[in-house]
Amino acid sequence: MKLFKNIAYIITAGLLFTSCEKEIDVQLPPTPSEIVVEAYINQLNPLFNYVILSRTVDYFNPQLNLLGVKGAQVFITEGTLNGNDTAWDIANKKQLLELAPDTMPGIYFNPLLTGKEGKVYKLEITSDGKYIHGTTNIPALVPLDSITYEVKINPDNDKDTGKFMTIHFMEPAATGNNYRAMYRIGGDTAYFGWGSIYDGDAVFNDEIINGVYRHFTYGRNFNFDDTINYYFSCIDRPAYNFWESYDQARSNGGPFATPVQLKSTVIGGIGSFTGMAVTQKKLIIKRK
Amino acid sequence: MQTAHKKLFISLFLVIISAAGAYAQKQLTLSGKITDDQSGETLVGATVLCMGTDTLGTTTDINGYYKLSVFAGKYNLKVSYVGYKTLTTQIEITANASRNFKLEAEALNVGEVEVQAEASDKNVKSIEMSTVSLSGKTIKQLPVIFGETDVLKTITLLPGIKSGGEGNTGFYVRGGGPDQNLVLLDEAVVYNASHLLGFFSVFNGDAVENVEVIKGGMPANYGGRLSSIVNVGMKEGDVYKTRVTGGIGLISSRLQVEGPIQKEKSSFVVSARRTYGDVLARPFLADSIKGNSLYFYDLNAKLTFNLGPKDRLYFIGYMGRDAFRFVNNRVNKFTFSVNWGNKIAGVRWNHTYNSKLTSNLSVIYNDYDLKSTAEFLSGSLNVYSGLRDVTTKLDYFYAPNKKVKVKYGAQYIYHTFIPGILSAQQSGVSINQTINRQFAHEGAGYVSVDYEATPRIYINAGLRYSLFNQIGPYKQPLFDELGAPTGEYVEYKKGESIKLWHGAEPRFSFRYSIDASTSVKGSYTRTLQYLHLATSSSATLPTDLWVPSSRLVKPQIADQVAVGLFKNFKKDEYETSIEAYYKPMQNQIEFKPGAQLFFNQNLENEMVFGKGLSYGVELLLKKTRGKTTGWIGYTWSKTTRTFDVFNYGNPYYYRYDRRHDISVVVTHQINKKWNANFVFVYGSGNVLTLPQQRMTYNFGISPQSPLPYFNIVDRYVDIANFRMPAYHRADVSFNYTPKPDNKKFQSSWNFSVYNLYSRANPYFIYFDPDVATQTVRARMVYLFPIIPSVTWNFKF
Repeated sequence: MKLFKNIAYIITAGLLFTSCEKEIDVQLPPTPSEIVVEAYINQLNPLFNYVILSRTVDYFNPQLNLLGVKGAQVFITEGTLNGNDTAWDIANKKQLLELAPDTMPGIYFNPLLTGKEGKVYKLEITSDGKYIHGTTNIPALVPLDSITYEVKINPDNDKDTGKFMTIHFMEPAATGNNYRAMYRIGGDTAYFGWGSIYDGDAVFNDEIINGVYRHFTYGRNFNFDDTINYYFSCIDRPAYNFWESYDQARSNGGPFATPVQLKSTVIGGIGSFTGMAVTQKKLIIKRK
Repeated sequence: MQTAHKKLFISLFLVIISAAGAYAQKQLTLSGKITDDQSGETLVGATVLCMGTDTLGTTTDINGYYKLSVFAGKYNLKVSYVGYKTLTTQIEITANASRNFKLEAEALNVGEVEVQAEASDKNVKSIEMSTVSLSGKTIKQLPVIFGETDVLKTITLLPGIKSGGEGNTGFYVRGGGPDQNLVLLDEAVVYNASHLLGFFSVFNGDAVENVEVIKGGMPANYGGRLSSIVNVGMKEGDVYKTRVTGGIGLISSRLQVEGPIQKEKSSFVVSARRTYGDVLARPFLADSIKGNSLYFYDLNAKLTFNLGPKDRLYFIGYMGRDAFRFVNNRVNKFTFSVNWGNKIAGVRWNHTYNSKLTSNLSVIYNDYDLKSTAEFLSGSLNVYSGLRDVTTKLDYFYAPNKKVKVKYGAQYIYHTFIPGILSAQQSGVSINQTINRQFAHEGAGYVSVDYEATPRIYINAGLRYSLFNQIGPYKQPLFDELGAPTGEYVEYKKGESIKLWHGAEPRFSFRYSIDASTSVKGSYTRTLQYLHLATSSSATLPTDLWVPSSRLVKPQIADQVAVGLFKNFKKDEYETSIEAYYKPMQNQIEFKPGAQLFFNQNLENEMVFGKGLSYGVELLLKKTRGKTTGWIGYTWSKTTRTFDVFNYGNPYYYRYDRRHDISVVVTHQINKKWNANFVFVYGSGNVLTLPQQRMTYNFGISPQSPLPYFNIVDRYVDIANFRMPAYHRADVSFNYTPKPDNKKFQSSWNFSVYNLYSRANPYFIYFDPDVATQTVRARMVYLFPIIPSVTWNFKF
C-alpha cells in the first residue's frame, strides 16, 4: 500500500505551503565498504546474463559513478533439483570474464552461459580473498499472452486523449508465483543491462489474485508512435523479496522515510542473483 | 471566554452556626457540590480546605462533588478554584451535613491565566506526584500555530512531556512511545488523537474543561498503557441560561451552544469545529491539484442530568473526521478519497449511596476507522480498516473515615480489530481480500487505599490485576521463512481462547511533609500494556494500526520509580518541585527495517522485541498568582532502547531521547482589556536513522545516453546514528477584549505570532546525491517560519 504513503506525501505537501529547506552539515561514522553483487540469469537472452560487482561508499564520498570491482573470479554452475538436493553440473561450471576492465570495470560476462527453465544456478565470486556466493532458480515460465492498448478520446478536449497499455496473462492455479514486469520506451535495440529497461519496473505476486486470467492496465498515458519493449519475468521468492525491498529502498525519503534494508540473496556481499523466466513482447501505439 | 465570569453576582456565602459547645469525637461527613455561580457548571478539582484543630482537605471529583470526614467542631472552610475568588467561611459541624458552594469568577483579573487548576498548596499537600494539569482556560489562552488552540500541544509545555515536533501531535512521556499514553475523553479511550496527519489534535479547545496528565505514580484505577494517562474532561453545559460561543480563525471556525434542558436540573453542550484551510488555499494552487480537498471537522456533545440529590447521568458523544480527496480530471480520471476518524458514545451514571460511598458506572462504545476509495480508468479499489471497543467500567469510592479512602472497581473491554478489508475491480476481475479480524477480551480489577497515617505521613497502596485474552474466531494463515504463504491455516473457533496474558500491577506512593510548605514524595508503579501501535515512521499516519498481544506478541511492561521534593514559597505564590525517575521497560516493539505495515497478513513477523530504559530529572518553578503568572520547566533525561537485531544488540538512543528540554510560559495581564502570553521552548534534537552508505544498482547502458544508467540506493547500517539540530522557538500572543464589561455580547481578539524569530526547526533531513554535478548534499526541510495569525472569538 505504497499508495497511502504517496497520499500522505500529497497531504503533507498541501499543508506545507510554507515549508522551506536549507543545506545542513551531516557527519556520520565511517563504515567498512562492502561488495555489491548484481547478477542475472535468464532463459531467453544470453546477452542479459551477467554479473556486476561494485562497492558501497560512505554517503558523502564525492564519487558517484559505478565503482566497479576489478579482477574478481566469477563462476556460475547449473544444477538440477532432486527433492531437497541439488545435483551440480561441475563439469560445465562457467567462468565469467571482465568485459572492459579498463574503461568500465566490474562487468563480468560469458556469452556461452545460457539459462534453462526449472534449473538452479550457483554463483561464486572470489575477490581480494573474499568469497561471495548465492543461488537462484529460473522458475517455470508463465507466458505473457499479449499486450494491447486502447485510445480514449476526450470529447471536450482533443489534447487529453488517453493511450493506455494492458497486459494479459493466465495466472497458474498453483500458488507461489512471483513476477517482475519491466518495459522500455523507444525503438532502439542496442541497449544492454536490465537497468536500461527502466520506464516501468514492478514486482508483484499471486497472493491476492491467483489462478485467473489477468488483465492489467497501466495508469501511464503513452504517446502516439511509442514503441514499448516489454519484459515479463517469473522470479523465485528470494528474488521477489530482494526486488521488493529494492523498490522500497529507491523510493524512500521524506518525513515518512524508514531505514529500509535490502533483502540480499547473496552471502558475503549485498545484492542479488536473480533467475528469470522471461517473455518479451513489443507494442507500438499507433494513431488510428 | 473568561470574561464571562467577571461580574460580582452572588456574594460570599457565610454560614455561621453558633457554637453549641458540645463537641464529641465523632466522625461526621461534610459533603456537597462546587459550581460556578453564573453558569452552574460543576468545578472539577476545586479545593475544599477545612481548617480547625486539624487541617483537612480534599478536591472535588469529576462531577464537582467533595466529601470530607471530620470530627464535630468549628472550622474555617476555604473553597478555591483556578480563576475564581477563594471563598472563606466559618462552619460548625454537629451532624452529617451537605453544603454546596457557588464560586464567583475572578472579576478584576479577567483573563489572567492560572497555571493550575488546583488548590494553592496541592502541590505540596497531595500525595499525587508526577501529575500536572491545565485548565481549558489556560489551553485556550496559549494558541499554537495559526491561532488554533491545541490541548495535546499545550501539555508538551510541561516538564517530562515532550513534543514530537511540528506535524506531530504525538507526545512522549518519560521515554515512552506515543502509543503508551492512555488518552481519555471523559473516560472514553481515544485511539488516534490527531487530525491532519498530526498537525492538530482531535480536541476542540472550546469543549475542554480541563486536562490532567499523570506521568508516574499512576493510581490503580488506571491502566492499559505504560507511560501516561491524559484525562481530557469535557465541559458541562450551563444549567441556567443558553449561551453561544464561537471563534473565527485563519484556518478554522468553531461554534458552541450550551444551555439548560430543564433549568438547574439538566443541560446540554454541543461544540463543533471545521477547518477550511484547503478552501482558502485553492485560489493559489495549480490547476492540476485544484480539485483536491482536505479538511477535518469534529463534534463534541455532552448532556448532564441531575436526577435527584443522589444520582446524576451523563451522555457524551464525539465524532471527528478527516477527509481528503484527490481528483485528476484528465482522461485517465483518477479520483482518490480517504477519510478517517473516531466516534465515541458513552453514558455514565454517578450514584451516591450514602455519605461514605459513591459509584460511577460507564458504558462506552468507540470506533476508529479509515475508509478509502480509488477510482481509476479500468477499475476501483476500496479499503477499510478499523478498531472497535465496547467498554464497561464500574468504580467505587469509599471513605469510611477521614484517614482512609478506598477506591475499587473493575473494567472490561471487548476489542474488535479490523486490520483491513480490500475490494477491487479491475478489467472485469474483482478481488476481495480481508486481513482476518481479531477479537480480544481485556479486563482489570483494582483496589487502592489512601491512608493518612499521621499528618506528616500519607501513603497509598494499590493493586491492579489485568488480563488480556485473544479469542477466536480467527483464521491465522501460516507463512514460510521467506514470507510466502504456505496455504495452511490455524483456525480458532468462535470464543476459543488463543492466548491469555495476565499480570499484577502493584502501585505504591507516599508523601512525607517536612513542614507546611515542603514535602517529599515517592512512588513505584508497574504498568502493563496489551495493545500496540504498528507504526514505523516518525509521523502519525492514519493507516497506523493497533495490534493486540497474541501468541507471539507479549504485553509491554514498565516499572517506574520516582521521587520528588516539593516546596512552595510566599504563601504558595511560588511552587517548586524537583522529581527524578527511573523507568525500565520490557517487551518493547519495533518493526523490521522496511516492514510493510498496512495490509499485511503476516504483520507479527515484521515485529522485533527489545528493552527500553529511561531516566531523568524534572524541575518546575511556577508562579501561581498576581498579574504575571507562568512557569519554567526543565527536564534532563536519557532514553535508550536495546534490541538484538539493531546495532549488534547495543543500546541506542530512542527517537525522542532528549537530553535537555526547557519550556518557559509567561502570562501578563496588562490591563482589563489586554493580556499577553509568551512561550519559549527548547529541546535537544530528535535522533534519526540516516543512511551511512550508498551504492549503485540496476545497471544499464544504451547508445542514446553517454552515461550508464543506475539507481543510487541508500544503505542503512546502524540505527539512531544522527541527532538533528536542537528545536527552539518563541511565540507571543495578545488577547484583546474591547468591552470587558459588556455582559450581553462579548467579543475578543487573539493576535499571535508563532516562531517569533523564524527559527528553521528541522522537520526531516534528506540527502541529495546529484550524478550530473557529482555532489552529495544533505538538506534539511523545515516547516513553519514566522507565522502571524488572528482569531476572533465571541460569546453571548
